[in-house]
Amino acid sequence: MILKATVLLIALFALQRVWQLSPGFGIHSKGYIHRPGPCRTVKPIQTGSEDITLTDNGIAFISSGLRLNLCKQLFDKKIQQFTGRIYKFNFNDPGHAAVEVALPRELEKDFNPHGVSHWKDASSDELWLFVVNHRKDNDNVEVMKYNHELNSLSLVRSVQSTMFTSVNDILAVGPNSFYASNDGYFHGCLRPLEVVVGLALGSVVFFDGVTASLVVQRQSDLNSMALSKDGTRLFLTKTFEQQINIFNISKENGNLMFDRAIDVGVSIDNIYADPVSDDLWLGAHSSMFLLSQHMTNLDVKAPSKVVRVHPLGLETDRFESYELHSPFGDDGRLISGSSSAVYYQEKMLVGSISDTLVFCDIIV
Amino acid sequence: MIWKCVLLLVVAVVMQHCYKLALIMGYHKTVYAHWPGKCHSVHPVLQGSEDIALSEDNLAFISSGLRIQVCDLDGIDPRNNEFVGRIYLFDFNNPEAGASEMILPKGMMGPTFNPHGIDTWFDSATGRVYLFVVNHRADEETVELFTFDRKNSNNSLAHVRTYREPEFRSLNDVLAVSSEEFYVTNDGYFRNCWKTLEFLFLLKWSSIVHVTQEGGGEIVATGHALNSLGKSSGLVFATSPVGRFLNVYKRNDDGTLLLRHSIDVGTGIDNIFVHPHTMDLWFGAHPIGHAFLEHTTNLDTPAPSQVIRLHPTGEQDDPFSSVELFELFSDSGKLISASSSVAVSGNRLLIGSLLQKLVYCEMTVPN
Repeated sequence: MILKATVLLIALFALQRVWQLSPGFGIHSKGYIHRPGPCRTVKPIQTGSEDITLTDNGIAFISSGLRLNLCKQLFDKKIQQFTGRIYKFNFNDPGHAAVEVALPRELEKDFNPHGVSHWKDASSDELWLFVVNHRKDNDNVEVMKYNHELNSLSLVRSVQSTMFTSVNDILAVGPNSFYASNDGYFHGCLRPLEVVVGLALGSVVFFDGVTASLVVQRQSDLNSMALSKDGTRLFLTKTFEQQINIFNISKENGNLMFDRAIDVGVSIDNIYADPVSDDLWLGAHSSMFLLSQHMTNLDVKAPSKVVRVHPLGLETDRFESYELHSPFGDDGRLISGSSSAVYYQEKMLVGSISDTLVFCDIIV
Repeated sequence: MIWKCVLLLVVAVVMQHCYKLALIMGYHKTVYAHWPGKCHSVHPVLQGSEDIALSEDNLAFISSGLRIQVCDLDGIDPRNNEFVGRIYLFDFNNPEAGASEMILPKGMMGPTFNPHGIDTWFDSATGRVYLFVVNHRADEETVELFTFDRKNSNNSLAHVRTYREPEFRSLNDVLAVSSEEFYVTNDGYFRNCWKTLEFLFLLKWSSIVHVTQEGGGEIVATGHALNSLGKSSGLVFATSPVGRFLNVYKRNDDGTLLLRHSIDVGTGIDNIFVHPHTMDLWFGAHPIGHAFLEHTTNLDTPAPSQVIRLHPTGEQDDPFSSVELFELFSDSGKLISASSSVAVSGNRLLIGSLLQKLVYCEMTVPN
């Protein structure tokens, strides 16, 4: 009797998880092709461009060569041979290839970059680059200074914390301070189980330059972060739940107060908040099913999509209502597994987890 | 014990069927807007532009005013019953002029004229354009044949013939192969309240009928909710908006059809347009089933619209063995609701809707 009840309970739970995960899985999604204008891949990137951070004068820094340390057996062996790099792309000179940025000597042999962010000093024009680095033993946040003339990065500090369980993205809010999103807890082959069961072990950490504190806890499926135009709101993406969570930021201590969630209807990855228009640009996966097949075998194409969320609400509550647009869709042949998108003056850059980087002119 | 197994089987079958219906309803789907360039409504079309047929000289014939109620209980917006059946003409060579209403022969008005699918046939010898129109008369399904003489007509259509065949059950679209030979689709077996049950049970009782010069109709194919027809070099195409697939048939010399491919398109493709130069197939489509249904019950509720281009990428002897799918237009219903048809001329697009407007777009992006 108890056995029957237990089996039934497990079956119901499994059914509920399948129900929750299946829209995000997108087994029936088709990757229709459409472009906002002429699009092409950016040389020489072929081993991923997972995250992109864009300065206000059109310089994009791209993390490349990500080797996810989540059950290596599930991933294509080729990924383990990827080299972690940072590339630079200039929107003001888009005909030029992406240029590799020289890494600090300390990181050359231990660099596995994921999310990136930057901080620019308004008066001095100094630029800091913040990169999530999956080092051999822990996840660190590398805070680096960019030297424009030498096109090189020097390590300012390497931030470690026991609160960094599985860092995905980073959001700089000062030369020394940032938010870090933990997309889960377990590494290795316990992670797929964590996702399937839906364990709420993700969190967001705020580092004020001295101490780290948990500002969002007991969440699952957290991914990427961006800051609103006026710096008062933080946007956080949830991939399988296909949502953006909006938080208000406390000026005193960086705490986050949940405001609202907006449904985007597709499995979104990294988010970019346009500082000019307030629009949110997202790299998205039309089918997590095909994405997982692509990650197991890179020759399998995974459909890509860019979503633009355009707020329609008033100043006090911009995202009370919104419109969903999609400037770019691909069946995977130009770019597979699109994870990020940034916009600058009628041009767009689309990044992917383990594939190419695409540049588009936007003419519609 | 046996009964428990049987019960479990029945439950499993029912659940699987409900899952299929849920996929058709598209509750899990979201629409993202994007246009191929500047788009605007074409005056004065307001009561639908369900199907569009393009003639050789870039004239588009548009059927309008389709009244879709087949059953008193189907909840269709009562305003649709007041729609007036019309044929409009749109000239791609003069897009600013809007659409002009064609003068119909006496007798083709009121309950006698309820136009649905249309197709043109150009007789190069006489320079005459033949127009076949599916007509849902009050008590029967017919196909009307008109002629249009561009030089002498002052925008009027002359009626030539009414086709009536016992095989005409619930007509949807027509495909002309000469001025005296054509195919039609029955989008189901029933034309009345049984149609709803036919849909709910996902019955495959729709068919394609071949009407020959000698007279008489012959059923040449059956399938699930077949809707629109097109042809291109020895092939005949049929769409299924409910099934979300495109059937590709080889057309035999005797007019019979042999199914070669059934291609999953992933969205509710409605009327088909075969591009005269590229051979690509273009569709007006309904991306979200339940939104489409809600729009038919209340014309003020917007329904999303979509234009799909299917480009065959297979070898020359079997071009549709593999395809690429492009989405040229996507709208939440803000500009146009329930797009059912499309016509292309150069880099211009005409999009028709089941019960609403007609839209003209310039395609700025090379797609």
